[in-house]
This record gives sequence, structure tokens and C-alpha cells, in this order.
Amino acid sequence: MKTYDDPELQAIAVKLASDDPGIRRVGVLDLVDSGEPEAVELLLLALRDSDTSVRQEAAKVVDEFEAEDMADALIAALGDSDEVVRNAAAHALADLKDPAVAEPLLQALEDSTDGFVVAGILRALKPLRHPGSQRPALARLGDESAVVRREAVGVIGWLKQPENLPALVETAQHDADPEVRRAATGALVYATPNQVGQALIGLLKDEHWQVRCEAANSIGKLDYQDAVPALMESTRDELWQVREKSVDALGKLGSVDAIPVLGECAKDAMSNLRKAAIGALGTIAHSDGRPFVVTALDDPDPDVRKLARWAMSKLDAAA
Amino acid sequence: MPIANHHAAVPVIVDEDKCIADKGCTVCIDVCPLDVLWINEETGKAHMKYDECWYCMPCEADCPTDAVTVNIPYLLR
Repeated sequence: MKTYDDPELQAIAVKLASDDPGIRRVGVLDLVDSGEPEAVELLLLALRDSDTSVRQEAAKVVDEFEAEDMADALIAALGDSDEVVRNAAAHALADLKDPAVAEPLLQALEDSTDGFVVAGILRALKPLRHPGSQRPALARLGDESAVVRREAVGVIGWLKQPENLPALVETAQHDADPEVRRAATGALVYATPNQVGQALIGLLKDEHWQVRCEAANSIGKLDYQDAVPALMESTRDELWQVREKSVDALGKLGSVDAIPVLGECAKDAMSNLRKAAIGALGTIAHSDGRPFVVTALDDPDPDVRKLARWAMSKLDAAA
Repeated sequence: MPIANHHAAVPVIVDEDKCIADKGCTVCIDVCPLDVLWINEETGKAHMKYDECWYCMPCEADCPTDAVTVNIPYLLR
């Protein structure tokens, strides 16, 4: 056993060398509070421990240490027999954002069947944008676990490859899980407006309100002008959250045709919607919107009044 | 009739099968702001020595083996 100068660390090292897994586990608990750089060595030791509870405990504290110092050990931990350890390793490696770990992550992805771990590995792969993650991610879009499908959507969204768009549109439209549909709808923004615009218009009618919100958002980001009529219809959605996002999007598109509809929304009972409407009218800055903004100057909600003054300045500047 | 003049139960219950205080763990004892948790000399496990609990919960939340349960009285819930 290696000896350490720091007495605290030395005490931990003694515990970690114990035959009793319980004592080794407590040693790992103490490791977190040690500020010594050599503590990483002991953590690596604990990650390779023969006892699962010790490895799990070590995996829990992995993110307290610099992942750079233990990349190799983390990659090895990706092949651990315990899921908790594999997942913690994937997360710590994700923080690393080092392209070199993509290959081992992909290998671990091949070997994993547990949904929780697969999702963790996909999440780690996402920011690396490795071309090799495209095929497995596309395959996982058909996974039975919604969490996995959601992460697969994330990977594909970050890859930004035009050839993945049909699969992404398909997921946005037909996945059984609303959160997966929402994520896919949000991921479509890397396309050109004409590739996904019609699909997004359709998604404004999704049965789940968060998907409808996201669709309005994406249309705004893509600046898809052909969606103005559909967005105007969405400003009459049954939920104000969807109405708000649609109003925001109309503002982003700078649609003068939508001003009467935005004026309607500026009279809505929900102050958040009034705020969004006045914001949109200010962004469009067209004189047709002025009467609505003038009315909003006396709005009961101070936030709306504040925004109305801002909108007035935009209108005056444009005039 | 006997008169009950002491509490039979304390709010913090430690599952002795799960507790690893005998291996050197002192997480619950360290986090307790009132220092009411102690190690039982006989078993080496943690237990509530003084019933002065604030029901602040870190002992339960931080226990690495989920051995601690804090029973919050009905009127405080």
C-alpha cells in the first residue's frame, strides 16, 4: 500500500485497504472531503473495487473530482457490471467533452441494454457530436423506453445532419410520448424552413400543449413566413401557454397581417399573454399596432405597462 | 396502573441492519445541527440519544445506506 504525507489521506488509504467492504465504503465517503490532489488515486482504486457497494459509492462522488485525471478509469468503468457505476461514469465523461472518449462511449452503448444507462451514454455522446453516434442514435429512436428515445433525439439534434430530418419529423409527429415529440419538435430548428415548415404547422395541432408550444417556438426560430395563418389560428388555442408562444412567434416573424389578432390577445384576461402580445407589437413596430399599445399603457399589470412603454418607443422610432 | 413518565419512541429511527456506523461512518452524526445522534457503545450503530429533534432531515437525506427515518409529528407535517 502506498503511503501519503497527509495524515487524513493516509487514514483514508488505510480504510480503503481494509478487508471489510463496509469500511472501504466509508473510506470513499471520507474521500470527498479531502482536498489533496492524490485523493484521485484512491478514488480510482475504489472505482475498481471488487465490491459493488464501494464502486457505487465511488461513482457517486466521481463528479467531485477532475474528470481529466481519471478518464481512463472512467472509460473502464463504462464496462462495469453495475448499472449505477456505468451511468455515473458516462455522466462524468460527458463533463469532459473530450472527443477521444466518443469511441469508448459508443462501444459501451453497443454493450448496454438497460434503458437508464443507454440514456446516460447517449446524453454523454450528445455534446461530442461524433459522426459515429448517428447510426446508434437513429436506431434508438425506436427504443421501447421513452427516456432513451428522448436522448436519441438530443444526439440527432446536435449532429445537425440534414439526412436525419425525415426520422426526426417522424418522431415529432408520431412518437407515443409527448416529451419525446416535444424534444424532436425543438430539434427540428437546424433544418431550413422549407424542409420542416409544413410538419411544424401540423404540430401546432398536437394533442399535447407542450408540443404545440415548442412547434410555435421552432417556427419563430426558423422564421417560416408561410406559417403566419396557422400561428394566427394558434393564438386562439385553448391554453394560454400555447397562445403566448404563438404570439411570440408572430412577433419574431414580424407579421403585419397578424396585428389585429395580436390586438385581440392584448385584451386577454391572462396578463402573461397580454405581455407577449404587446412585446410582439413592439417588435413588429408597425403603426397599425399603436392603438393596442396605447390601451396597454393603462394595463392593470405593471409588467404589461412597462412593456407597453418600450413598445411605444419602438413605434416612435419606426415612425 | 403504571404511569408513563418517559417517551417510548424517538422521532429518528435508525435501521441497525442498514447502518454502517460500526464501519466508521458518521454522516448522520456530523450533519445533525443539534448533536442529538450518537453511537451506541454496545452495537456500534447510530441512534438518537436526546429527543430534541428539529425535523430538519439531513440525517435521513444524507445517510449513505438509507438507514435513517425521521418521523415528523402529525401536527408539523
